[in-house]
Amino acid sequence: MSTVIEPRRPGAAHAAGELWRSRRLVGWFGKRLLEKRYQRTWLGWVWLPLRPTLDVAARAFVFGSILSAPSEGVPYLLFFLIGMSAWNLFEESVFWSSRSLELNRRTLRRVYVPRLTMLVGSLAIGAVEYLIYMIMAALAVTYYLLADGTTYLELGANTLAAVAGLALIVLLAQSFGLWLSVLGAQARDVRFFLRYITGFWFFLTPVIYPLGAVPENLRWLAAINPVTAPVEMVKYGVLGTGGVPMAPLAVTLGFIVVVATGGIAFFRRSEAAAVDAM
Amino acid sequence: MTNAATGAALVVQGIGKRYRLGRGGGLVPVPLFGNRLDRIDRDRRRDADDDDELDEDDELDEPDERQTTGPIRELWALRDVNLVVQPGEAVGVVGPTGSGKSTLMKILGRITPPTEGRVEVQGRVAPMLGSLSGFVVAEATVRANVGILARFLGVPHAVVARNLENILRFAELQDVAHMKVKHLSRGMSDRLAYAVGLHFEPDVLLADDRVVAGDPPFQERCLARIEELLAQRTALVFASNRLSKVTELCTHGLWLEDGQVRAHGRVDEVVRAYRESPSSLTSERGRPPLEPEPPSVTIIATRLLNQAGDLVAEAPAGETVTVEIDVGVHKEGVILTGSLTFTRGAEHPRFIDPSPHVVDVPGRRLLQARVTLDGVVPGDYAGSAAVIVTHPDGRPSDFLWTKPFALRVEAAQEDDSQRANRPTVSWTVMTPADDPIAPTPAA
Repeated sequence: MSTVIEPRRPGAAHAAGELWRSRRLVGWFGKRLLEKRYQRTWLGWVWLPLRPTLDVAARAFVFGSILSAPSEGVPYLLFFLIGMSAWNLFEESVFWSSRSLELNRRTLRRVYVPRLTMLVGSLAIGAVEYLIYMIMAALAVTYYLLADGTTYLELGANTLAAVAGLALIVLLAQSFGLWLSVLGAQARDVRFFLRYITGFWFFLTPVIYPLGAVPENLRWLAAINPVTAPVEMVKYGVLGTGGVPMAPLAVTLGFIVVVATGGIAFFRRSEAAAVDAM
Repeated sequence: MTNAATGAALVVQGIGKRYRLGRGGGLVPVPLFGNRLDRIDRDRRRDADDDDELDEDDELDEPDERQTTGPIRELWALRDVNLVVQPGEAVGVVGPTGSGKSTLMKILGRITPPTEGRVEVQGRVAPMLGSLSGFVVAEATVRANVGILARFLGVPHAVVARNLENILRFAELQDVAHMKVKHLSRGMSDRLAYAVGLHFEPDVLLADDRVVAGDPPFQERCLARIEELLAQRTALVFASNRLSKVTELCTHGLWLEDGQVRAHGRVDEVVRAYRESPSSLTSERGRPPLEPEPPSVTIIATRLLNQAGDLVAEAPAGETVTVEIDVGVHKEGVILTGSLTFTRGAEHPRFIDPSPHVVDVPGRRLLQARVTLDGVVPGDYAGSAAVIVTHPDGRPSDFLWTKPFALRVEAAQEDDSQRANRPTVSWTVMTPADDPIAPTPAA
């Protein structure tokens, strides 16, 4: 085995092989990110379920109870929980990807680790919160079963669409992450902006309302949003509402291909300079 | 064949590193705290902070000092550094602060890529000794930490398990192996990190001033272990200004100054020259370089010839071409080894003369590599030839690189079904009859 150190980092295939061989580090970086997030808090790990719960409680109350948003025959809380679980996976994964290199700069200064392990590791927060949403959804389902005698769930072949939707969300978030991790290591502006962008993006994505409720003249806006299709697929896969929207799905796939291809080149070219400048 | 054939563990070929100072500046300065520390200063401060590696909780919101204004300046922290380290050899890198020692170590440790040049390592480079201290997990047991630290070395589970007891014994932590690190002293956790760093047989070991840690007996054990690794053919690059330790551990010395090699040779000579120079006391710039020893071998030309002996740049597949390195040898006893690399895509096989040539009478030599292109994939190849000069007096080997050349292999007419990827090479060394007198090296 020999190692060659050159100005350019080796290509994508090599990076993928290296990532696979270092897969144990992915878990390490993910775990460390989770630990760091709740360090120096009074409530510690309690924040992990608490944040999504508070989020859901406030938003479901405002949009469901006050504004009475439509929810395709499913209780609004459950409808919102499922959509939000998918959206939150996207939002948190994108946000933490932008901090993946920056938060690990001490490691980067000390030892060589494949950079992608940090990017993939940053999925940990989104993934763990996704599990929290699943638990909340299970509790909500139990409640409705007891209260209404029905679960409102429709699991079956359609559930594959939900799995595919989640996979698309992860791929999409990581594609953006290839750009954002490097940019986020260069300037804090990235993460300041990012919270506003995703905050607005949330309202454009059919999470608090079904895709069917979007007025005809604004459908195009939902269609060009790459998160529309995966979120709809997750809702369809769990609740059986809506369906798999084909045009937005094509947009999602297009986004992934373009953003990831550019991102791989960008990451490879700029990652070292960004780390040097940290 | 790879550079395993020369035995070189590490070949550093013309590396340089340029830093751009002033990058990361904002469009709008932050008026209150816009300080102008440049990154070199920050690096130094960072190194000073290394002591609180265990305490990493400030990482989420540690304030960044970032240069917010100022023009972009360029600084070559390292330029044109060549170095060959054989297995079992130890090179001590000395030089005043800011001479490029740490930059060189960062490049070798893959912390930062070089701006130019190339490094080839045969095997695995261990992270800088001491750098693992920052990754000891206080909440995990000593035993679990061995596995955690080994992840950063890329060592598989099975190998970790095999070495576990040795490591614990080396660190004298067998009795507390089940305890969480947070209940141990700082010294014990350092011992653990060093013990892990010194096991798992790296092919190249990097160390700086933090080459040892802990109490004197443990420091002694670290040094003994390094000696043991050297005996097992690990190569060591040791960047430090602890000159006595450098002399003790190393066989060769490399003196860097202002990012350039000022001297390279036997460690006692380099260290003595460095110690006598004013730069070992101050870091004054602009000293004249040491009187260089006249080169014992110079490259006169490199030629690419076809079977008829004509100069060529392309050849049909199936042909044979000869790469001829024309050298003048000015000193008897040196040993010449030809080396040839063809690069195409990610492949860069190196072909090394398996029977080096001992120069009994100084003079001109033609090192000829007959390259058979039978079954070689047509396309553009980048060739680079070198002569490795081994000195009888124990000075480190020199790599003399020739100018790279291009070779286009054209498609052969016949059926291409059976294709090897690589050319085959056979080496011969000739002493041209017409010019027995060594040309004098250029003044």
